[in-house]
Amino acid sequence: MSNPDIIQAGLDSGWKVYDATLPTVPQRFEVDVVVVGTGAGGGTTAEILSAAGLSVLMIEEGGLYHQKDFRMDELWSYGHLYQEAMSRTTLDAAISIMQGKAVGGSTTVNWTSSFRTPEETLAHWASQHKVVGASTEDMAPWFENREKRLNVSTWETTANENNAVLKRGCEKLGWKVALIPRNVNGCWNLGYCGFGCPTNAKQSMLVTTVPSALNQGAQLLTRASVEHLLIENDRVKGLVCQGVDARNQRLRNTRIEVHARHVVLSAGAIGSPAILLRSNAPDPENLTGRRTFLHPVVASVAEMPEQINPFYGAPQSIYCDEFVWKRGAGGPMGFKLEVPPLHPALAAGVLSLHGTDLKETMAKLPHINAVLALLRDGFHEDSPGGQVVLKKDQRPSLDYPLTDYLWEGAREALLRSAEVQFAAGAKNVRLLHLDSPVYQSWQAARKGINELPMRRHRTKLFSAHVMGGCTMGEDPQQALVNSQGRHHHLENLSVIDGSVFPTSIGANPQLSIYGLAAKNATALAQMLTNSGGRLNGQAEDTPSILKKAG
Amino acid sequence: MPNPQPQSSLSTLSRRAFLKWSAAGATLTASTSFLEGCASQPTAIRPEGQATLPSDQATVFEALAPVILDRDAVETRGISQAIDAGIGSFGPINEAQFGELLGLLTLSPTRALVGGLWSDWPNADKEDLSDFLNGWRNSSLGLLNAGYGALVKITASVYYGDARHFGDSGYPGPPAHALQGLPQFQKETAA
Ligand SMILES: Cc1cc2nc3c(=O)[nH]c(=O)nc-3n(C[C@H](O)[C@H](O)[C@H](O)COP(=O)(O)OP(=O)(O)OC[C@H]3O[C@@H](n4cnc5c(N)ncnc54)[C@H](O)[C@@H]3O)c2cc1C
Ligand code: SF4
Repeated sequence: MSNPDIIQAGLDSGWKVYDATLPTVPQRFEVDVVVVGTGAGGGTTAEILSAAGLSVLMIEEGGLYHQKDFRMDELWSYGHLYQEAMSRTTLDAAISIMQGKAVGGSTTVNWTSSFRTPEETLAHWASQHKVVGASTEDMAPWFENREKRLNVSTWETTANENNAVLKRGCEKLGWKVALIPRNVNGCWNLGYCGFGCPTNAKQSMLVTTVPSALNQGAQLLTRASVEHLLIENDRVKGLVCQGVDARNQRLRNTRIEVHARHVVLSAGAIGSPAILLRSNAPDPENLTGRRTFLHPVVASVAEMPEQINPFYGAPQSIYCDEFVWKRGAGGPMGFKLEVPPLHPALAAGVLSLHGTDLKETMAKLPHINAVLALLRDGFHEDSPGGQVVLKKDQRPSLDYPLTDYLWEGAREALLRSAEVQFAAGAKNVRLLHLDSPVYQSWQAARKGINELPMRRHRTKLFSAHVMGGCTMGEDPQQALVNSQGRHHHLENLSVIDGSVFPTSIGANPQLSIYGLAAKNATALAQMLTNSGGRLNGQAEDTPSILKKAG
Repeated sequence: MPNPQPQSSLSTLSRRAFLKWSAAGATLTASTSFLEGCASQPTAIRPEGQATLPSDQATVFEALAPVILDRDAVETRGISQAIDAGIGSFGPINEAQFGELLGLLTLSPTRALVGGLWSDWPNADKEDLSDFLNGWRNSSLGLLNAGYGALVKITASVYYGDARHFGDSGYPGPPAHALQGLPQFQKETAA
């Protein structure tokens, strides 16, 4: 049996959910707090604020899809659950960007890997970006709290064959390899996490915090894109949104105005800075949208002798951290090795082949394994990250520089992914790179990859982890928001999502967002419920949310 | 496997010549924005179900798909409609940018210049089409590499993502036990 569809049950029980594209939508809302975006940051925040008795409105530009819609249909998912129907790229089209656009945000389509923020990252933030109150010790209770809330535990079920390739290769080479913790409850081990979990097992925001906020009386406005904030002096009065239809067309005849005591931006990286840019929010240092990071991904595909069916089974269950911090946080760009699931449309799309080559490679899909490297960007001065810019229609794009420092990391990462595949017994390996031949041995691959040109549009780059753009830290010259997510120049505006990270994480980011969001939303709830209370530094007492969980 | 050698007339055009030529056509400049992102006017809102691609642009895909996919034209006929549906949900800017790329490929002077194709799409033979693809793939201009990537990606994804073609990639489709056990696949709970 699958888990019950609590969305359907909630809708039947009279949740206050509105669709901005319908004529019945209210034209005006007045609430304590409006939360923009319902992903990792927004869902977490809305649940905590509504539990504190505040009236909350969640606004989401995507639709409310749930179990009845999740039919393991790849193309349907790309068209309905992803930003720009999966066509989002950086401004120069060099990096394909995957981000969610639905209630639950990217958590509705993510692959469930759940890592705490690495110690190296938190230490770097404290020393280089003046982030306070977020050391490993400070964060531990918040991670524990979220792990309980979202049922995170190490995936002990035997890894699918696709992940087993990475495990076997690492063991052969003596590289660090471990099991991935996942946020699932009653997982059927199907492998369709990227298309909306069909069994409600994935503990995404869609089936956890968002329904819980709605049960606590919060409201949800879907298919509404926040256009701009209403700013008066150093305060935000509210915001204005517009309906967006299923084909991503903005409905110009809709205008919904929301007034609130406090505004929380949780529209994700790219999304949150875009709202601030459209609003001409105060930003004396021009920081908005700067330092946007991607964990740029490079990958190689291997033909395995055995059938591995890379489309079935928990998509990610094994990871290799041998190379993430090997030469220090500030050294060459380190990377984490993982495996992506390969369904036919995704595989056919990323291969960038045509003709017989495409046909023959695709025919072998059941034998194809891919290893990907998540490159840790933002820890070095030659990895400044991208800048969010607005296009003519005010929609955002990301101008992301490809530096030599990045290319060096990419080459090293491609070498290691090919090496691990050969060590695991690959018959041959080819890189996702227009100049890559099919390498028949590790020796040939090593030589070849060392000579391959690393170039824009020829080396294929991807990202499913967009972070930064509203950097946090205590120094307003360097950061847009403080360590609690409060905007340095707007009194009643917080940013609570992945956009506050001052660098990339160096691990899949969802749990980092959940932990930080729980901490900052709890502090915000305390401030908003203690009339006249101020929010600065640490909360005095252990917040009740941690007492409950502990 | 060796890399296919550049063959099209394009590969013989030097970058400088190409850039000089590019000043000649406003379309070409517009095509740059397909990749540089500074696109033109968002397209008007279309009623649901209406095609995005003008029919001459649809012929680009009808002609290219058999070559990209290495299949008979009968097998790929109609693929432009599925591609059209895909492009139609990209959102106005990306849709417009794709339109610019295709616009460039449908106007005969630019098609010949940047694509090396002298005959129009329905009349181009397999070899010319393959030369065109290899030319863009192997070009030293990143812009054309990216154009190649865009054309090949959408065609291949739309084809292999279609349940009728799952067999071509050895993908059996969603597991039977899931289809049998999950409520959304039972007829009576379709609501
Ligand atoms: C395919 C895929 C797989 C992934 N796998 C993993 C994984 O296994 N482990 C992991 O840790 N991470 C994974 N991630 C990344 C992770 O899901 C994200 O980093 C995380 O969800 C980001 O949280 P967020 O709150 O910052 O933004 P999101 O979760 O992206 O939520 C932002 C929401 O805001 C909405 N929005 C944006 N702009 C507006 C606007 N103007 N008005 C209204 N709403 C707006 C968006 O539609 C979106 O729903 C994956 C991501 C993808 C795409
Ligand atoms: S593998 Fe993913 S999609 Fe499948 S049941 Fe588990 S969580 Fe859901």
